[in-house]
Amino acid sequence: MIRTENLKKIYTTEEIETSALDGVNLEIVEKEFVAIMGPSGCGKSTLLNLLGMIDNPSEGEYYFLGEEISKYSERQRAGVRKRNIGFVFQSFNLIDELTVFENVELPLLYLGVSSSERKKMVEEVLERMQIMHRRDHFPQQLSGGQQQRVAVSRAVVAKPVLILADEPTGNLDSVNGEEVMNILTQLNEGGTTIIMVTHSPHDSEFAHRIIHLFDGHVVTENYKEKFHV
Amino acid sequence: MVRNYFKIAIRNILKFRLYSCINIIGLAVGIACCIAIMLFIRDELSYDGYNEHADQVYRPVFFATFNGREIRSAMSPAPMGAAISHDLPEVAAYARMHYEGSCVIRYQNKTFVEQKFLWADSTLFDLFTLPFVAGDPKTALTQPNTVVITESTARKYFGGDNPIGQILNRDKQTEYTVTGVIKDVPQNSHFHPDFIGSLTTLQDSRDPNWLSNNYFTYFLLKKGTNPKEFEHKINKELAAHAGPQLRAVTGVSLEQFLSAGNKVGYVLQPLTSIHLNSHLQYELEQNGNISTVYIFSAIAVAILLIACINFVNLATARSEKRAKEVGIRKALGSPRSHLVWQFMAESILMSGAAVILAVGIVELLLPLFNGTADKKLSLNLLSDPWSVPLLAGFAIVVGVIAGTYPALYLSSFRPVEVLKSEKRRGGRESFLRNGLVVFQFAVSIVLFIGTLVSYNQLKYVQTRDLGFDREECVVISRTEDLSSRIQSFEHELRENQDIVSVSNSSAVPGRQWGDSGFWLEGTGADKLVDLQTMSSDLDFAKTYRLQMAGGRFFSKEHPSDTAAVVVNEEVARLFGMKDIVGKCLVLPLGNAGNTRAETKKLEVVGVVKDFNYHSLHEPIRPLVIGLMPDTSAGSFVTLRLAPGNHLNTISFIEKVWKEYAGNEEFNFNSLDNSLQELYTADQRTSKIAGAFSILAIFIACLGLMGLAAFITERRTKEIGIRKVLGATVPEVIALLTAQFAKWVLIANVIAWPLAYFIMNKWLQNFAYRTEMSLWIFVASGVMALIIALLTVSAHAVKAATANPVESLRYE
Repeated sequence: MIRTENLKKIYTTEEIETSALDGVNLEIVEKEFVAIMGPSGCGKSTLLNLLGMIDNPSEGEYYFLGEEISKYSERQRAGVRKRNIGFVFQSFNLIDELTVFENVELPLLYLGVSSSERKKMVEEVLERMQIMHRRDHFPQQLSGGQQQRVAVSRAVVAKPVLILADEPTGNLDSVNGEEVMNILTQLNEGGTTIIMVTHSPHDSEFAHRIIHLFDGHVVTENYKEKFHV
Repeated sequence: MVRNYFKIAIRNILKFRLYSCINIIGLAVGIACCIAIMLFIRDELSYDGYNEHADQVYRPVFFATFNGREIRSAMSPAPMGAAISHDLPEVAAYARMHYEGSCVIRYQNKTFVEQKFLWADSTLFDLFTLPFVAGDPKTALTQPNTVVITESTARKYFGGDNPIGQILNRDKQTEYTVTGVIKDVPQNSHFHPDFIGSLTTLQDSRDPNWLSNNYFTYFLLKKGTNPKEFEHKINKELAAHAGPQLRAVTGVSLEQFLSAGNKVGYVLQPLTSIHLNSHLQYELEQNGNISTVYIFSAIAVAILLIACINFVNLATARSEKRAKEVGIRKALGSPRSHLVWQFMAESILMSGAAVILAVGIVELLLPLFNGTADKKLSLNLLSDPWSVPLLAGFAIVVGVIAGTYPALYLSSFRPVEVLKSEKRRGGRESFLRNGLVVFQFAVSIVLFIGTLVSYNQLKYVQTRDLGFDREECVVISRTEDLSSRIQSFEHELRENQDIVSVSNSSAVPGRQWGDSGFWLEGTGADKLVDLQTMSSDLDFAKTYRLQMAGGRFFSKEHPSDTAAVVVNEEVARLFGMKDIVGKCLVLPLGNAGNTRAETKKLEVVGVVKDFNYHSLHEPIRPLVIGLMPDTSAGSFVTLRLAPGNHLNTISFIEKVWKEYAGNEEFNFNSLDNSLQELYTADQRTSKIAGAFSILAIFIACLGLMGLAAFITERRTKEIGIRKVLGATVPEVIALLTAQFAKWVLIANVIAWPLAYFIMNKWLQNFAYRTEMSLWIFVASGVMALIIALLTVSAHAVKAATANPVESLRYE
């Protein structure tokens, strides 16, 4: 599903060049659950941004579902992204001015799904995430765990093939964190590929494979369990 | 999707009430100013456009140069209309008008002094669209002693009775039968008669004299006529008709006259350009001024820009509040164009709200504006089918102007940056923001300076030494009907010891003066110059306290003064003579029927020092004063009163007036007042511009307040740290206000030269003007600074006095 070749990301300021990713080669297959770990500043989030197409690599190639997308324009990337990828952030990133329902509905709006279809899909996912009773509340009125459930709902509502989660439990207590991890696992079992950046060894236990990054390099890849395509 | 945008927009507007209020109120006030000014300008530009043939009607006006002196008069000779329309096939119709000042109209026991009695040819209604309520436009003015009146005049004299066939008496001399009633003349007309008498009543209207310009002539040209060519043809006609008359009267041929460097000709004015562009001698009414239109347009644009800048500044300053939303939307697949449209929709929504509010403001304040501007403007929301679409269009235009930059800016955020870190963006956009604030203040300071300069100039024209003593004088008008009894009238007034002196004259300062051509004895008619003329009795110089520069004023001891004149210094200068006393001026008398040159010699017996007998817009023109014959009376009697309480004296004067004039209205005014009236239009412009300047500053301050709130909020943590480290409250306040002070100072640097340039141009309208002193500039700058600092200090003080622990925990 995903293949990167010699992926590099260099940030240039006036005087210094910082290499955030330095030649990452990666292959992730469909239905895999991958955790990316490593110390702060090792390039985890940069890699996730590149994989999620909200940033372009400085060098290297990125094949997504067979397409080489590293030279795509922002518009093209947005097109690929909205059809295939869902995001879950550490800080939830819900739009404060929209209700739970409206936040979850957003990706469908960009996909041009009809109003009645949207309603059906949103309600379905809200039911599944057990947050339906909060559909007309605004994000600030929810607990952290509830907010993250909304964020996950939003990530999955358009039925993406890939979910990118950036420390999804980072702002949650252990009970809520556990719950979110269970949801992600269920989604994975349902066939969604998941790539998750995490600091938490506990969370990484949920993944099939753990990729360790250090200073922009992949240092080790551990298969927790045998994963067969 | 659009619903989603509007939903977010409305929730954002409600959530950030302070910012929304600042934006909407600022925009609304700006838009209200714009609407009011646009109504004003639309009205000014609409003058005479109501006439069906407006674009085919032209007025020839007299442009001449006699010995280097320009004459520009709105009038033309009596025979011109008929001759031109006879000779030139381009003319579809012509009509003349004639005006002779105020008159007294009597009907049964009603007596009114009327200012708006015109005479016109019966063809007037072919050129001007003046709908008849009663009577027949074709025949109404064909007979002598007929008059057409307006509806309100009809009501005033006849109440509900049928006006047709009624007889009105003018000045106890002529009777006019009412033959028609027209609707009141629209306000946006360059003339507003209440009475239109038939011109054929006047003997003079058949005068074949091409050398004197006493009529307003209008031509209706056939469609497709080139006005430039027509103008050329008129001037050819002038040579053919006026040339022989000139030779007959002066003995000089037109060719000789022109080869001496003189110029004579007619310029064709389009009817619709008269109101704003014609400022000639002897206009039918005081016209508007195109420069007022320019000034107001500039102010409208400036105010709208200031309001739009507020919007841009507050939207970009608050950008980080929206950055997350942009990041999420982009991550979820929104293309940038969608976001641009979303933010545009928001700003259009805001400007839509502002337009609605602005309409309310305009409806509320329009009567006040009308009062100041002397207009009858109205918004006509319901009756004018264009007004609603126009306002909606306006909302969209303002929304686009204000929203484009913020939309482009906000939609440019990269999700990588804004989603991960609460990264603060600064640099380029805060530079732009500062620049825009500087621009706002520069514009406000220019408006401030402009207001002060015009105020100063108007004060100057009202207090400048005019060369005569304007205090303690009253003027009685319309005294000419006293004719030979004027002597005893004056004599009786002089008996009162509170009346210092009395003088009868044909003109007084501030009113319309006559003019005539003269040449100096010893030269010829080719050296003709146009001089202002008036006649007075012996006491004119004494009453006005004129200073003599040489010779003497008229006196009883010199019976020969009937053939003498007193001139002003300008006349001596014009003829290039140090001492003109004892020289003679030659006045051509003959009318065109005469075949021989007839002239009158007038000896100069004295020179008065120059005095400003016209408004200070105009330079002092050369003036000839002749002695009024004993047997006739001039239109004005001026009385100099002893200092003190004038009430008793005035009632005494009125009593004497009643004795002599019976029921004639007692028309009097203090000289000072009537001189002030010369500047009414200037004062009006200055007042309106001043009010708009204040509004501009107000809107700029609103924006500054929002920006200050934002900046102090953003620096809360910094302030906390500084205070923990030992900064005092005044130090923190100084820190926060210093940058605003810097902006205002930079704004001054830009504003001063600009204001100097603009106001210098404006002052050129006056022949006599004040210096633009430095203090005006300094005062405006300091005022702007103080206002700006007061605006921001509230937030600064609040931030500076807050407990640092609070502000540190805030983050």
